[in-house]
This record gives sequence, C-alpha cells and structure tokens, in this order.
Amino acid sequence: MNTSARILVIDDDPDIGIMIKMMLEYKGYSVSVAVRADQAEEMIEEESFDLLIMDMLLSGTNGIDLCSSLKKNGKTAHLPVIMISAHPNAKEICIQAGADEFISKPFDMQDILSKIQHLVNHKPA
Amino acid sequence: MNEFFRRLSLPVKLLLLVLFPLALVILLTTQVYKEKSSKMALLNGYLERINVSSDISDLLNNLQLERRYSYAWALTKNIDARANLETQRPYTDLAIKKLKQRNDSTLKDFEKYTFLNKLGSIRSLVDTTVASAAEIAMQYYTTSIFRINTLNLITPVYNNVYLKPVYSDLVAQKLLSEMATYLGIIRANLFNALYTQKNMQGILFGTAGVNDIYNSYESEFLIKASPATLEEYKEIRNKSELKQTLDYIQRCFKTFFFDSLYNADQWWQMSGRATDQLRNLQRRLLQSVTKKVNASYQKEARGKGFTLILLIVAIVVLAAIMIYTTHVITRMLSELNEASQKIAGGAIGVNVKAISKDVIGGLASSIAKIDESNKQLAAAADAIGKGNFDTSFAARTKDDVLGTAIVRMRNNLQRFTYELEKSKQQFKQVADTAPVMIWMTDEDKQCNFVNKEWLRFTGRRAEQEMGYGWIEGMHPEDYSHCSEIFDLAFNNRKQYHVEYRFRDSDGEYKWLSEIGVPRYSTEEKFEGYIGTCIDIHDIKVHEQRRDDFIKMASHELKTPVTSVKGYVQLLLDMFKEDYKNIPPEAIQKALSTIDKQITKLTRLMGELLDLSRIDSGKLELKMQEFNLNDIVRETVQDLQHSNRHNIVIKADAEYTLCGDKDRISQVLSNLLTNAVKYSPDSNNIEVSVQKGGSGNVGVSVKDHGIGIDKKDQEKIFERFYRVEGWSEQTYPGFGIGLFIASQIIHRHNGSISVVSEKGKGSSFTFTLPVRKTIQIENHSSLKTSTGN
Repeated sequence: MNTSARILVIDDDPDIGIMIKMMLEYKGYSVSVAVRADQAEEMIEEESFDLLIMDMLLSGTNGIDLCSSLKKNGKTAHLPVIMISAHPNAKEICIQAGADEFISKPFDMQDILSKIQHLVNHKPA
Repeated sequence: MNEFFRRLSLPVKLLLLVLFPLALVILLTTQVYKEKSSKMALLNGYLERINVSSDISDLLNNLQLERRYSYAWALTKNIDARANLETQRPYTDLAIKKLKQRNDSTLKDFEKYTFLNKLGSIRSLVDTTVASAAEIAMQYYTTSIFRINTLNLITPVYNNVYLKPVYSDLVAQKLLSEMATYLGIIRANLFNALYTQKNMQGILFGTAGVNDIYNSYESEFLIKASPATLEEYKEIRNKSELKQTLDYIQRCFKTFFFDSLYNADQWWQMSGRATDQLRNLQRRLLQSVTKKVNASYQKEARGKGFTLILLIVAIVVLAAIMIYTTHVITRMLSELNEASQKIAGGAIGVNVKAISKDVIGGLASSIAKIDESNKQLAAAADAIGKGNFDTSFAARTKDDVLGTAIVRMRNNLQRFTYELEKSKQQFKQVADTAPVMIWMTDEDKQCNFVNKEWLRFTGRRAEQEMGYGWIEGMHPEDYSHCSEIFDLAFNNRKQYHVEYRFRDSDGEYKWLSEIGVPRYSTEEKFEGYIGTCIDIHDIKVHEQRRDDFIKMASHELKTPVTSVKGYVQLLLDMFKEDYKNIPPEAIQKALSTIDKQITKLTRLMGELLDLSRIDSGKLELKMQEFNLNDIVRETVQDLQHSNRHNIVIKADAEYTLCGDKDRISQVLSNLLTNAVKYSPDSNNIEVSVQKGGSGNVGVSVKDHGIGIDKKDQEKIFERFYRVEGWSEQTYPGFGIGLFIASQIIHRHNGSISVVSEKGKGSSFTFTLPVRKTIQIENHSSLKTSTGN
C-alpha cells in the first residue's frame, strides 16, 4: 500500500477541502488543498502530485473544464482524477471530461480511500 | 308518307319542290317543241307538195308544148316544127324525170296511169308519116295533160291554221292551174277546127262543156282569189292576149261560128301566150306561196331552236335557283343549328341575324331571344355568384322554370351566405375572444388564419403570418424539433403537442404550448389543422426555477451533510484505531465544523419549512407588541458575533409594533446575511430605522457590495429566483430567503423593496405599521461593531 502519495484536493468549500485533507493525512497521505481552479493549476505546475480530488463545480473555471484541460495537457494527462459532486447524476459528464473516478456527496470514507488506493497503486509508470 | 317526307334531308325536299315545276316546264317545252316540229313537218309537207305542184305544172307546160310541136310536125312536116319538136322532147323528159325524183307517195308510178308510159310509142308514131298521127297525138297529149292535171293535189284544208295566210293564194293557184288546163283543151280544139277547117261547128259543140267548166273555174277564182291576185289577174284579163283569146272563145261559143279574125297559126300563137299568162300567174302565186310558207317554216324552225334554248335556260336557271336556295336555306339553318349547339353547350352571345320574317327568321329570332334570355340568366347567376343578392332579377313569366330556380337559388344562397357569414362571425368572435392563440392551416400546411390573441402576442399583422410567414417568429433552435413533430402528425392526421419558444411583440422569446388537431369538412374531407398556443412561459420559467431550486437545495443540503459525515467517519476511524492518540485539535476542528454545518442545516431546514408553510398557507404569526429597536439590536448583535463586517444601526425613534418579533428578526437577519454575503470586498453595513409615510416605519439594510441589476430587482422577491451567474458555490443558500422575507412582511401589512446600483451596493427596506413611537432624546446612532 502506497500511502506516501501526494494528493491535491480542490474544493471551493473550505470545510469540505479541510475535512478530506484531515481524513487523508490521517491515513498517511500528503495532502494539499486548493479552493480555485487557477490556484490548483499553479500548484500542479510547481509541485508534483500523484492524484487529484476535485469538486465538479468550482467558482471561476469549474471542475469539468479544469479536468479536461489537465487531461489534454501532456504533462498532466497521467494524473489520476477523482471527481466529487453533490449531483448524483453527474458521473457521466465527469468521466467524459476525463475523470478516472466519480464519487457523489456525501461519501463514505472507505469508498474514497479504496478508490485513491486503487488509482495510486495502478498508476501507469 | 308524311313521316317519310319529313325524314328526307332538306336538299332532297327542296329538290322535290323544284322537280315538279321543272318537270312541268320540260313537259310544256317539249310539247311546244313537238308542236313546232309537227307544224314544221306539216309546212315542210306543204312545201314539198307545192314543189310537186310546180313540177306538175312544169310537166303540163312541156307536154302542151310537145303536143303543139308534135301536132304541127305530124300535119305539116314543116322543118321548123321538127326543130321545135326535137328541142322540146328532152325538156319534156327532164320534167318527167324531175317529177319522178320527187319520190312522192301520191305520185307513185304516175306514168302508168297518166299515159306517159305510152309517150315513146306516140313519139314514134309522130315521127312516121302515118296520116292520122296528128289526130292520135293530139288526142293522146290532151288526155294525158288532163289526167296529169288531176294529180295537182293541193287542196288545202281551210282550218289548217298554219296555211291560213297562204290559203287564198293556194286555192287561186289551183284554180288557175285548172283554168290553164281547160283553156289548153279549148284552144287545142279551136286550133284543130281552124287548122282543118272541117266539122268546125261539131267541134264547137263538143267543146262547149269544157268552156263551161273553164268559166265555172274562173268564177270560182274571182271569188276565192286574194285582192292582190285578182288585181294582177284583171291586168292580164283586160288587155293582153288572154283577153283577146277569151273574147274570141266567147264569140265562138256564142255564135257557134268561127269568124275570120285569126287563122289557125295566129290563134295558136295568141292563145298559147294567153295560156302561158295563166300559167305564169299560177307559177308566181305558187312561188309566192312557197316563199311565204318557207318564211313561216324558217320562223318555226327558229322558234323551235328558241324553244330548245329556252328549255335549257329554264332548266339551268331553275337548277341554279334551286341550288342557291338550298345552299342559302341550309346555310341559314346550319347557322341556327350552330347557334343552338352553342346555346345547348352553355355558351352565350351567339350571333344570330334575323334574316327573313318566315319560319327560319322566326326560328332565328327565337334563338336570339333564348340567347338574350340566357345572357340575362348568366348575368344574374354571375351577380348572385359574386354575392350581389340585390340584383333585380325576377322570373320573367310564370312558366319560367329556370328563372324561378335562379330566384330560389339566389334566396337560398343569400340565406346560406348570411348564415355562413353569421357562423364565420361567431367563429371569429369566439376565436378573437379566446385568451389563447388560435391558428389554422390549409391542407398544404400553410397558415390561413390567426386570431386576435395571436396578433396581440406577436405584434404583427395577419398578412405577415399567412403561409409560412409565422415561422419567422419561432426560435431557430426549436424549429427542427417542432417541424419534425408537426410533419409526422400532419402526415398521419394525428393530434400533436409541442412546446417551443416564440418571439413576442417585445422581441422576446416566450415558451408556448401548442396543440394541433386535424380539421375536416362536413364531407369528411381533410382541410388542414387547427390549433391553439398557450403562453406557458411563466409556468416554464417557474418549473425551471423549481428544478433549479431542487437541484440547488439538494446540493445545499448535501454539502453540510458531506462535511458532517466525513468528520464523523474520520473520528470513528480514529477512535477505532487508537483513540488515545487522537490529536485534540483535530477533534476540536472536526466537532466545531460539525456544529457549524448542523447550524447551517438547521437554518436551511427552517427555510424549507417556512416555504412549505407559506405554500400551504400555514405560516403562523405570534402577534404581540414589541419594540422594533430592540429586535434590530439583538439581531445585529447575533450576526455581529460571527462576522468581520461592521454593522452600524441608526434609529430616529423608538418604535413599537404589533407582530411576530421572531419573524421580523428573521427578515432582518436574512437581509443582513445577504448584505454580508454579497459584500465580499466591503465591511460596512448600515441598518437604519426611520419613520416612513402613513404611520409606517422603515427598516433599511444598506451595503456597499456587488449590487443588483435593474432587471433582477423586482424578481428577487419571487420564489426560487436567483440572479443569473451567481452559482450556489459562490453564494450558497436556497435563494428563498428574500421570498420568505417578503411573505412575512406582507403578512404584517408591510412592504419590502430594494434600491440598488450594480457594483455600488444595495439598500433593502421593509416598512411596517407602527403602534407607538417614542422620540429618542439623544438622537445618536446606536453603534455596535466587532473587533473581528
């Protein structure tokens, strides 16, 4: 189990972002939080992450657009993305945008952890 | 027979008509021609007979000459007499030959019974020296002459009309011939006596009968001859040899004695000339008769030719008249027939000229009348067809079936038209009164009617909407969807329902709900579609807002639940793993967040409950008197705790109201929360409590935030209304706060409004009726602020 993976959580509700950060750090991951898309892009540029967790709706550039642009960019296309949303029917649109996994809010901790683990361990070299 | 004649074609009838007179003309002409021909034949016969007479006369003359010369020769053997005889005989033969050649049936073998067959032997006798030859010859010639004279058969029938003009001449000629013959006998006998000087008295006695016959002929001649002939005869009779001869004969038979005035030769000479004179006269008469009869014959011949020409001309003229008449009548009748055919074919304005006043003319004018009447009928029917029911047309007679029918048709049409107009008017009234848009198409999908409501909605003229004109108003994005549904329904003649956006008179697209049904005539013939459109824009927008609200509400509710659930699971996990080593700050953070999120959830649920109460009319107010200023202060203080914003309260008096103070506090709290929420870059918020008009007090919350667009200012108090572009993430909340606030204020008989300018901030004010006002002595602001 690779728990040393670096994860970036992007959610414009700071309460959610911090909650996930706490949850994942407790499980040993190294976690950063961003509240806006542009902020996230900057961070991805500067640091290296193994996985992104982003809310589908962000103020400014939303999660869908951010995901698409990352997946189209050769440098960031390999980054696995877990999209989360309060809209239960948004899975399709997220997968279309290139997200690897979709989790609807509210989510189970075990669910998100197993998906993270799966994506991190099976990440293409 | 009558039936048969009727069936004959017109030319044949006319032919028959002309055939009878034509036949009659031919018959008559033939008759005339025949008559002429027989007359000519008759005349010809007479001419022939006259010619025969002439020839007989000629023969008699020659025989008399030969008798004289034979007698002289036989008696005297004188050389001169012989020469005369030799010369005379061929003439006599010639005369016989001529008469033979006449080939007349009355003269058939005349030589046999006129002694001429013995002429040869007599001549031989004369040529001999036989003593009695002279006597025998004299006797022979005299007998022969007498007999031949009887062959002159011209005994005209008095009543023969053709010979009437020459009748007397013919008779005279015959009598002269008799006279010449008898004179010849007397003369020969007297010569005989004078020459022989023997038995002279006996001869006179023997000849006296002949003389009497001569005299009787002369008497007859004098009676029957024409005056002109008599004149001529008297000329000869009174001064020539004839007078001398007859006077001498007269004397002889008176006295029965020969005086010595003439010797034999003298007598022969003189009496010979006298006989010639008679014969000449007879010949002249005969010639004259021949001439006249010939002229008559020529005239008849010409008449006959003329008759023939007349006949031919008559036939030709009659035939021409017949053909022309047949042609004209046939032509006239065929013109009438043509006109009748045209009329029968329904045409009017046929040109029929009334030509004559007979049956055909009558027929022509009847046809013209029919045509004229047809014209009137057609004009009337045309006028009626064009809706001109005031046409002065009336049945022309009481038997006028067609006219009566047209009048009835007019009356019926007028009634139908009136009823149709009425029905149309009613339909139009109904259609125009209906508060929905109504339209109709024809069987080719082309619009042919829209009602008043439609035109009111689109703000266009009816002509613009006809055909496919109305499609211009449809939202381009909805066109293909709508035409697909419409075409499918139309082709299957089914009812359909479709919703689309349509441009209204302000140029804005509004949602319409359209239902179309096929319409049929009373004969079940498909005539197109009729349909209605209802403006469902507000419903549609409301639905959209409700959908958005549900979406948003679920998001708004899920977000705190996610947070709470996440922390709870984390804490549970931590406790499960190793609860003693849980960092206290983590527990602190988790629990405080949980608390905050539950507060948020509580507020959201409160709002939802309020909304539900408002919807079901069960928003209950606990009415009581309370101090407005106190409530304002408490509410501000509550909010002040959890905010960095600086909220300033200004009041011009202390106001006591009657109402639900918790609800009023809720309204103010909502306004303040919004002010805080929509003023991310400004900290100052002002709350003022001021006297309004009509015993009201106004509470205003003024911020310096992002402001509200003019178009949104009125709608923000509507249920589910959220200003566009504000995402739930940016400004969380249900967007029903202002709706609930306005409902609460209205329940308190107050009002709520906003004044705002985009980018400069907003000022929300609600006014409420005042129970009591207490003036504040120290008119200063009540200031509270947080150091946060």
